[in-house]
Amino acid sequence: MELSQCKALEQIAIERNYGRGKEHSYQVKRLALGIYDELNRLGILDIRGGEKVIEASALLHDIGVPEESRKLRHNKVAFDILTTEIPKRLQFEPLSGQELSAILYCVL
Amino acid sequence: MNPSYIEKLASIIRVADALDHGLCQIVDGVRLELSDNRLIFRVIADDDIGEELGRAKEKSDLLKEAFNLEEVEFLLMQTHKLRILFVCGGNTCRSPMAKVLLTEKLREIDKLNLYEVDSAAYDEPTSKEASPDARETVKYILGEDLLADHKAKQLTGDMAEQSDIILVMGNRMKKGLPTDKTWTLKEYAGGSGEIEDPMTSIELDAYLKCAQEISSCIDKIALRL
Repeated sequence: MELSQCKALEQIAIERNYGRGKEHSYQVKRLALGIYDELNRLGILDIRGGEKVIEASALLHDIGVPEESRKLRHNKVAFDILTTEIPKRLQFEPLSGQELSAILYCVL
Repeated sequence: MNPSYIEKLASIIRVADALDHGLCQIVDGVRLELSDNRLIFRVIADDDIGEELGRAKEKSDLLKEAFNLEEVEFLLMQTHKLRILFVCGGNTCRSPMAKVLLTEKLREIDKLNLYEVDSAAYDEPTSKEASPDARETVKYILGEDLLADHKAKQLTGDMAEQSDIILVMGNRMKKGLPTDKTWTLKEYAGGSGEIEDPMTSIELDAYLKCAQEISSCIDKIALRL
């Protein structure tokens, strides 16, 4: 995933206050990237270039929480947001199927 | 699509999210160790993070599955250097040699600032200083008499409690030490068995062989530190 794609996806999170606030999402991003690096160092990750997927997923992981989840499941809200917003935001720079699946799996 | 790729990344997000369960950003970071297919998260924080550690454990099932692990554990590591303690019978030969060999290895890989390394005797020290043969061997390997100032000391309960990783030279030395942080040096390096005491050997180069064996284990351990 390109940096510009990651920034475009973060815009979705920003518009929804990251679900539970920027601080939490940035903390999850920092810790997740730390774990990613550590697993890599231990030689058990076996993934290349997953950092941007981790970053985008961390920033998006709570969208739809909490206000909308009072009536609907967070997963459903998040799924609707991501499946409608991602194609619009990334019209000219689509994610690979694997990256999109990974983000949806991470977030949902 | 590679399901393993997706599960691995998702499992990382789940654990990271759990480590900020209280939305307080109190976790400073994590260090991971892998031993016998057991992944240990040493979670760095100054405050009580019992709730976060419990939540992370609950959320670690996918991680366990995605990385094919037997166990995932979360331990609090308050913001201090990780303490590694080597233990041998008398603290005059094997454990002091291991201490200086690891210290020099950490210096070489620029991680000395993250660890505190010490050594102690499981039994009563047989001498107050390092054995002359151990000193000669270290001097031969590292080019310096780094055990010249070594003072042998006996292992205490406090030392064991304050250590994060205890590496003993023989299996008998595990007795009475905390099972969750004690391994033989060879086990921690991914193998099995013991580092034999060169004092009991009749071979002329027993000390050198012993130091080389310790050094080989340390090289393997250093890859995970």
